[in-house]
Amino acid sequence: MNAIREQIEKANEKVIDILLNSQPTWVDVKPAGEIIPGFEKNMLLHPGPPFEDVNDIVPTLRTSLCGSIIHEGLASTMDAAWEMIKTGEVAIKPAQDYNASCAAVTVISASMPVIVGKDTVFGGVGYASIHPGPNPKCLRWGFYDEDVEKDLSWFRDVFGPALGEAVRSMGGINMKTILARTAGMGDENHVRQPASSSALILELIPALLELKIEQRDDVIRAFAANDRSFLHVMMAGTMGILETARNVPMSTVMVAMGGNGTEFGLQFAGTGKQWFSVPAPKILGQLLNPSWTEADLAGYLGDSCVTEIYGLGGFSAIASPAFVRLTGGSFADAKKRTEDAREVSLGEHLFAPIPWDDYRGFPVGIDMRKVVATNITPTSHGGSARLVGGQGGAGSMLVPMDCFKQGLRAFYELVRG
Amino acid sequence: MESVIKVYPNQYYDSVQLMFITSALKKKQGITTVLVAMGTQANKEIFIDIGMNSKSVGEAGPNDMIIGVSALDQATCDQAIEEAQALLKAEGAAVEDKTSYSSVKSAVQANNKANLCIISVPGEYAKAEAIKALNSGLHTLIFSDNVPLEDEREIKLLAQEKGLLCMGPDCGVANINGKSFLVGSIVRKGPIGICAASGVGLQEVSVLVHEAGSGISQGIGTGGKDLKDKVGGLTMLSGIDALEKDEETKVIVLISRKPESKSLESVLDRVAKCVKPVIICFMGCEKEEILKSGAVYAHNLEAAARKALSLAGIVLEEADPEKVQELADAHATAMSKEQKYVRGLFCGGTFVEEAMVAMREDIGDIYSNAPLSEEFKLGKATVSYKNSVVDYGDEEFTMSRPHPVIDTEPRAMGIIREANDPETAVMLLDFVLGPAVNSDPVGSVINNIKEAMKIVSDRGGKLAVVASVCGTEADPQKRSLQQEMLREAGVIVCHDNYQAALLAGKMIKSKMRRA
Amino acid sequence: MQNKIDELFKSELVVVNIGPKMFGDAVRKQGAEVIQVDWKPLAGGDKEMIAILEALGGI
Repeated sequence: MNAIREQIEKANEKVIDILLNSQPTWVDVKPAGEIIPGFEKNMLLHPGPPFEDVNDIVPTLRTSLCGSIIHEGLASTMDAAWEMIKTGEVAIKPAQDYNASCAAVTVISASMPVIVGKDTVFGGVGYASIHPGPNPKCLRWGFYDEDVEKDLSWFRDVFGPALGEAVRSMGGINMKTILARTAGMGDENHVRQPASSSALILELIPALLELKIEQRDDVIRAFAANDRSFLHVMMAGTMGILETARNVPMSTVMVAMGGNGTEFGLQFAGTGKQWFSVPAPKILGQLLNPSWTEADLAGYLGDSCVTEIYGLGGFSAIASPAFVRLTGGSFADAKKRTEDAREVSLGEHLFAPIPWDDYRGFPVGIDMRKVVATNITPTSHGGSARLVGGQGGAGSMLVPMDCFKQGLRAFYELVRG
Repeated sequence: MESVIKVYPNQYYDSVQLMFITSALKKKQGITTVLVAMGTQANKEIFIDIGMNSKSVGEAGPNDMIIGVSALDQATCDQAIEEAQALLKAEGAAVEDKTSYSSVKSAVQANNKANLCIISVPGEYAKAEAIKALNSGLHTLIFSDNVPLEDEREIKLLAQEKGLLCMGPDCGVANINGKSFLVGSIVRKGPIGICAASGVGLQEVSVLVHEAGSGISQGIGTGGKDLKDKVGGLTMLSGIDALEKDEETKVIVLISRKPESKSLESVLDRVAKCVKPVIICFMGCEKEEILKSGAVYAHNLEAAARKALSLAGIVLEEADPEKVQELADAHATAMSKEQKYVRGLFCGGTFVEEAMVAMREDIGDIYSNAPLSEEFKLGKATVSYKNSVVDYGDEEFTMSRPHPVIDTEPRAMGIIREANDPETAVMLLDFVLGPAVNSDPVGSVINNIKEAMKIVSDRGGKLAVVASVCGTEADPQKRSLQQEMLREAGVIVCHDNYQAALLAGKMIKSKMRRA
Repeated sequence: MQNKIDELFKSELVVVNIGPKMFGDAVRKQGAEVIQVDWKPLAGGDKEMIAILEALGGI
């Protein structure tokens, strides 16, 4: 075998070992500014790749960014906040470059509580915001007003600390166990996760009941009313795993994926912090309101697809034929999405087998060489954001081939020296 | 007039399949233009040429399939597209019950007894696949053409290093262990081993040997360019080694169009050392040069078969010259005054050469798209001049259609075109059978032949159609059935191509004398 | 150099067919085992990517 090839294969084996054998565990909830290394007071984390020009920011994300600045007390009006972004007084950074992830239109600021996901085997730690619950008017979907501010403060002062205490008291919750227990319950665990969220609620409620705080019942009510809570926990867990995986040089495995509404980008272990981006495609499928059109949607916006790097979502499409139906696909399409991902992946998770897929597990570890060589690009699932704010719909998108080609080109330049 | 263009991303089909579907759709009523092709640059230019230029075509890549149809109405277009899809599905269904693989490597992993690999992918990808196959320990049979000679040599050197047989690139016929490959005929096993740089040459000699009751030990196709000096005859040399070593092989036959000088020298050097009898049919080579190597000289394919059979103890009778002359005279008498020339329409490239050489003595130089000397090259293959023979397997015809042994339509049209020329006296045809060629080569043009005869007789003349069938009783089309169909239509069926050409030449000579 | 051609002549044929199925089917009908490889151009035919993949030692 060619010497470069040998090094690549070895590096990829290492990354696959990390992806397959890590144990993502929810261990705590802490303010972002305290726990995320490198986080500063005048800094915000946003989804997807970095912005070259802040004027490219879509309105809904601009609302989240400016709202977060007000929430931090750095400005009192949206206009003043926007000015701080434009002048660079407040720095905006891609969350994934800090082992964090922002679902949909989420922005993370210093005082916001974040879920701490630790891989107890390899030691990596990752972060994600707390899922705000079923109320559609939230910062996560690009809204900010007095009501949203009230919620954000409650998350910061009550909900976040309460969840952190409960989880700590349990010694952490292993996410892999939850995925294994709920395998075959119809979740693909990116856009649909009622089963895993229910399992998570069942795990946590006994610990929440032990809390000696005044608003204990409100906390339990909020947590139990949310069938999507597992998504953000899994995002934090995935980021913890990826902290280790992304530090393996010479590996061609994908380790970051996300959209900022304007650009969509990927990162690969062997190419470090460089993003490979294209104009963000839209997630197409179902619109929540029939009077809306695709033109109302922002480009791919959010980091929740980091769970797909772990093999969930579109790569696990066969696990959730019901969701695939929603995106306009058939059972055969669900199977094909998973098969396509298998074709370009290096590993397979065996701990969560799907009965109607011959008890097979789900693929993990997308190799950019395989994507480019086979000309097969995996399908990602996701929720779509409206330009003006709010969720527009849910659906799927082919991960753009050009991101992989750019990545491979850069990898080759690097290897060649 | 309505046009519909559809692009199917990431749906790869081989061009042979798509060309076949294109031809099938062309025959449909109401369709004026149709093209089913992958979005390669060359194909996209064709789409533009035929007026099917759209943004989607421009954006399509070589892995995207494009269907373009023009027809009288929208419904016909839609129907044609549906039909194309149905045909593609049917192609896939043939082996649906068998598992297929995505690479040579995975195929070999699934069956470690695999020992031979057929490669028929577009030329630019053939080298990579051949190297993978050889590195997986497989002997290769490469049908793909348009592989640069440097690459061909590199592939063959790798094969040599690994002790593997590399047939092709540009190999159309082979017979290994009694199995016919690619467009070859089914023949029985026997004592005669063949190594040939000409597909139809290999097929004709095997067929003649089979029909005479003997058989073939191995039929190694080297690929048409093996004896170019840039390749150096590597496969022919290793083929001679293998046949010399092979216990079943008693006689070795080597076939090629004229080899280049260095390759010829190394082959003849090797032949001089060969312990088994060797018959050489290298068309266009000096007899003395061949004889010096100690080989038996054969001036054409029929002679090669006859001499090989004779060494195996079987006599293949030559045509009686008097009877041939009688037949020629009889037909010449019936022709009208304007009828002067022979028009050959061939599928087999080497048949063209064999025919020209056979007729040259009687009628002099012959025009062709593949002439014996450049000054007799036809400007356009579809416009005959004086005595002409045309190779319908030439690139000009096969760029956008399958080879004429599969797609018989271009030649069927040629038959009518030649009949409409008052100067056409004799039509000379070959028919090639085998499991992977057209399922009814004679049947698919017989109405055209009948029509051609009628066109000429309506003009007060008489068209002589002389043909040979290269195939065996074991082929799915059956030699005798195909010959019978020709005879019933009034075609003179000769034993082989050489005899057919000889007769055609004599007819023209006889007609010239009469004039 | 070990010559394997002689070995081939004495073995049962097991054929790998890369390309149109018709060539494989024709051999299968004569009784040989045929394994079909559904071939697609590497990297969708992107020349630059093919060269890079090759330089990285193939896949």
